[in-house]
Amino acid sequence: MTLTISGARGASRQTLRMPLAIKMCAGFLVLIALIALLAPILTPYTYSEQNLIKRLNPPVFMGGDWAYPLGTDNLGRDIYTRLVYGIRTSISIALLGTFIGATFGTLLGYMASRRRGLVDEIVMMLVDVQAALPAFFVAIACVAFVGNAVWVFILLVSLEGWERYTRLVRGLVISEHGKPYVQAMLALGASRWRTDLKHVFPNISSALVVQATITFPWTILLETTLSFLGLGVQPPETSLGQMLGSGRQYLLQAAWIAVIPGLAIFLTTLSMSLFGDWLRDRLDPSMRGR
Amino acid sequence: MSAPDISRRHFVQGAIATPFITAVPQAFAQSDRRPLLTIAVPENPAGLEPAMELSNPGTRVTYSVFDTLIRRDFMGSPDGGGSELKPHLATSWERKGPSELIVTLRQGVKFHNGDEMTADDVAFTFSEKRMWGDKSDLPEARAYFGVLSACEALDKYTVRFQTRVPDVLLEQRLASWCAWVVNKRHYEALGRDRFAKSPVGTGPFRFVSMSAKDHITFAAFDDYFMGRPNARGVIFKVIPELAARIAGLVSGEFQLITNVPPDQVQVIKGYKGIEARSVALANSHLLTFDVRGEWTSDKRVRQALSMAVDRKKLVDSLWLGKAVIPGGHNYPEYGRMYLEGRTLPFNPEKAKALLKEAGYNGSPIVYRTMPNYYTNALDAAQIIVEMWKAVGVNAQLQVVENFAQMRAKGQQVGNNSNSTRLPDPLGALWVSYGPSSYFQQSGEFTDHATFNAIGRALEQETDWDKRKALFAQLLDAWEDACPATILYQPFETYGVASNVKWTPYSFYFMDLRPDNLSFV
Repeated sequence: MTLTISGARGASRQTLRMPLAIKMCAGFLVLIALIALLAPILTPYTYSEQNLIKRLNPPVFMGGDWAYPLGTDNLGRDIYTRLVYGIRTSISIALLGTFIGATFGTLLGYMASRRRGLVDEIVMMLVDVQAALPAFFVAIACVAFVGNAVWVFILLVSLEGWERYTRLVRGLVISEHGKPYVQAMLALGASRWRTDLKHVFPNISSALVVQATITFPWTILLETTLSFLGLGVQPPETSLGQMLGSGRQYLLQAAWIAVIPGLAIFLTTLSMSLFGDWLRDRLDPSMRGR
Repeated sequence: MSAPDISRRHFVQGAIATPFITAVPQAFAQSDRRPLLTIAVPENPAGLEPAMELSNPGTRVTYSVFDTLIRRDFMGSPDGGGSELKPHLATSWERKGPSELIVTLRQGVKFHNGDEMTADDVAFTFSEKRMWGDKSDLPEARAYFGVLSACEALDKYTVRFQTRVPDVLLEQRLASWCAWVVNKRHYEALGRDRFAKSPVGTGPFRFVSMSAKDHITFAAFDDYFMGRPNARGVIFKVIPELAARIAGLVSGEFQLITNVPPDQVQVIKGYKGIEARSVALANSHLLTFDVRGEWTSDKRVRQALSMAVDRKKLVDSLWLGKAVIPGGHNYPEYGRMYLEGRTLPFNPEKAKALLKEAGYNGSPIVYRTMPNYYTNALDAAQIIVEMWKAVGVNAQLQVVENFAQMRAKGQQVGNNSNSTRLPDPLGALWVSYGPSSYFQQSGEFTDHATFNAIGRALEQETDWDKRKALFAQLLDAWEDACPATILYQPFETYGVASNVKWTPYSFYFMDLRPDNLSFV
């Protein structure tokens, strides 16, 4: 318990020494989260509303008008509105995918560490299989056979990286069980479930959070890649990848259709990656003192 | 028998000579200085049986592998839509009565396998078993040649066609879809399905290899009866993405690309050495309504969906005003059969009233479309969904990859295109929605009793005034049953390398014969 508390306090003190670049990343991520949450009140139109007379209208900074500050797409839809809703869709899918993948991977890892023997071997074999199969190709094959319903898509995104949680949790739980505080708890008569739930998990949670920050940008990229290829979110719905994909054929006439969501993807994944790296440096015990 | 005495000297001589001997065929191939034409297309057909692959991608490819007895002279009109009939595999034809036609074949025409084309091949092509019998190998062909009652060889170069009823369109039929002549010997040896993977015709290009998802390759057939083709080969390369097709055209990887939407024409014009060539198609894009759908089973809902589409807005925005809105399934090329003054109504108020009358409660209506098969289909679908939303329809757009997925259970609205195969309603509306059509055969269109009765009467009528009156009734019946509705006639644009002399036709056919394809 003491370790957890001191870890949290340590992290809190480190936050104060957050470098400017990381502060900017954190600020951008907060902004993205707010945009995703408040999309309906931030936008003047619905994401599918069309004004066909205003097709391919440029953004304000390229001579367009303020009715469409980031311009319009090939169907006269407001790019700003679609961007806001696109962020909401992509972030939601990535969050759900990350959550499902993390939960599934963590449970499997815990089961492997608890049971060991045959169960452990089977779980680790599954981990090896998943690690050897690129999630992207598995996703393409699944979409081809099952179709691209939203629930299929979220499950596919959750495929990205679950095996890393399994490996991590298995290793950490086994390692924690070798430590004196766990053995002391067990010797005092605490049940193993209670020990794991109350003491082991809080101690490994920081590593899981760090892992989530590393996986999250990849799930965003997987979602955007599949949608870019026309296998993910389908029009008239919007997501960052779907906007990027539908804008690519207008790169020479109306580059803003693809460039603006492309920038959003770039900045979101970059911010999350930098923030995750920084968090890992602060929370991962093995990185301390480097 | 003693073993050959091979000395070290012989071995060395052989080793030196081998590369030269094996290089001879290659050297001959390289001496063929004709260009290779690579055409980037969004999709290729699954096979090359010309009377089975009647789709846009299918006819685009098979048109230069097979020939018809009579040729429609598309180039007779500057817009690529000429309709005069000219001798082709047949040198002449003569009416012996309203139900009989005698055709004299051109002598010395070779198939790709070296066989001479004779009356036996023609009789086999139009045989009851292959084409028009109740249990024919090609059920869809009945829509085109179901009117036949016999096709027989009178001698090596003469064929007699007989029809069940007087047919004023038989010559047109022989110049049109489904009328491509196949090699009897090869077809019988392989059967329909294997023939589709290894076709033999008389056309300017002979089949080499195919992989439906990647390419179909043809080599020039130098014994072609119209003369040596001007390309040494043709590759139809599948490139589904428009941006990739344009990039390939710009880089020189492709010399011709298809399915370019109008808003990309300026992009192509911005590059040197390539250009855009356009043609108004004798083809309409349609929405189809599956009567098995929960709400599309009610014809009032189908009619409302049709009336709620503002076609002019679609044409002005997606086709830059260049596509054509016809007066229903009714086209000027019908000539004396054309019904003046008909329009496709846009009436949102009436659409709302019909929906209310039908008791439509806002349940989702599933609208499936493929993203790349028809030019602008996905953009049109998104606009139409908004138009329907304005009259209270909750349309749910589903993007699918192929027709099988589109027509799978759950579809209520799909898309399709109909070509005016013959300059007559029997070659368009009747072929597309008549008893042998996909829509009736599959059960998507069941409310067809009146439509079929009028269509059968039209088939047998030879008096032009009566035919026209029957056509008006047929069109009324179709629009009332509303199994589909026309959106517009697209304006097809090709991207072409400037050194390629080639004219597009008003069909998706790509004519690569020596009189329409050359290089400068």
